[in-house]
Amino acid sequence: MAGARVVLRRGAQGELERAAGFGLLNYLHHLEGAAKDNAPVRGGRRSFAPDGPVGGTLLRSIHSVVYLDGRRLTGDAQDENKQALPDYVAGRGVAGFVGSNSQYGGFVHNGTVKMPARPFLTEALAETQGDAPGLFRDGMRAALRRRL
Amino acid sequence: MVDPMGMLLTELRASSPLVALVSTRISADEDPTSDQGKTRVRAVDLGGPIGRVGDRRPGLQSLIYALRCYGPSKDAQGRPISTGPITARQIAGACVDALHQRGPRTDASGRFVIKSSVASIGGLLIDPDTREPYYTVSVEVVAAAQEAA
Repeated sequence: MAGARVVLRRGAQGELERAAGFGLLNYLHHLEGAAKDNAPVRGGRRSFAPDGPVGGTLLRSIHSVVYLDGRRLTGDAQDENKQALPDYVAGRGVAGFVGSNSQYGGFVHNGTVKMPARPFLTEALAETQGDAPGLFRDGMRAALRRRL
Repeated sequence: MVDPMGMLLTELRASSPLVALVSTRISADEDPTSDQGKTRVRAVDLGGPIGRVGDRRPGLQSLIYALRCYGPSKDAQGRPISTGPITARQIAGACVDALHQRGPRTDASGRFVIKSSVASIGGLLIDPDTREPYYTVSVEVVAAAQEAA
């Protein structure tokens, strides 16, 4: 009579969580790129001051990080402006963040009393969410392949 | 595409705790100058449609709105006051009570909202131009892209 034997491989769950983190990071890099494509640049696209000198601080401040059990999985500790990334409160499990650490990113995104909103991040989310399953799968698969 | 923002504004205006705090000053985006310094809610469409009219699947859209909830920066005599952030937080809470985890409903115009929920209340911000304190409530809405019969 045929039988099946299940052997618990200790550590496999940790490897899967780590791979899921890389899957998420793969998608978040894509989302970050789309957000940068949509971000206003002074003197450039979507500019509030089209005749001003070319800026780009907001664009360069957009970054993505993934945490696994409260620790940053990988990646730079600085954004492209050489500013330190904030310490996000990630908690247990896999958590990812995409955003700007410029002090005015929220004002640009959601608008103010005197400035209309330029929601570069939610626009990027809408543009890229269809790509998420494939990118997540590819990133996870690549991370698992490295471990095997 | 049907924009459900008007329906949400109507629901906010029907919330008596919110009306007690902001009166009729609930509207979309831009400020009438006369409202500056007063409590108010300004809704901003942050976009994000996922379905379109003519898709094979039912025409649904998923939208994200930001509600900027302003507390007062001056009293009736025009003097600066310090309790604005507390009132702004109360207004944000009233918006959450009005919209969070609400299920399917339609309005007289045939707009059909399947679900609305609040994703977050952001931290306290001070408007860089007017120095008014405000909180931002992020609302996620799943709604029909066409009018319901």
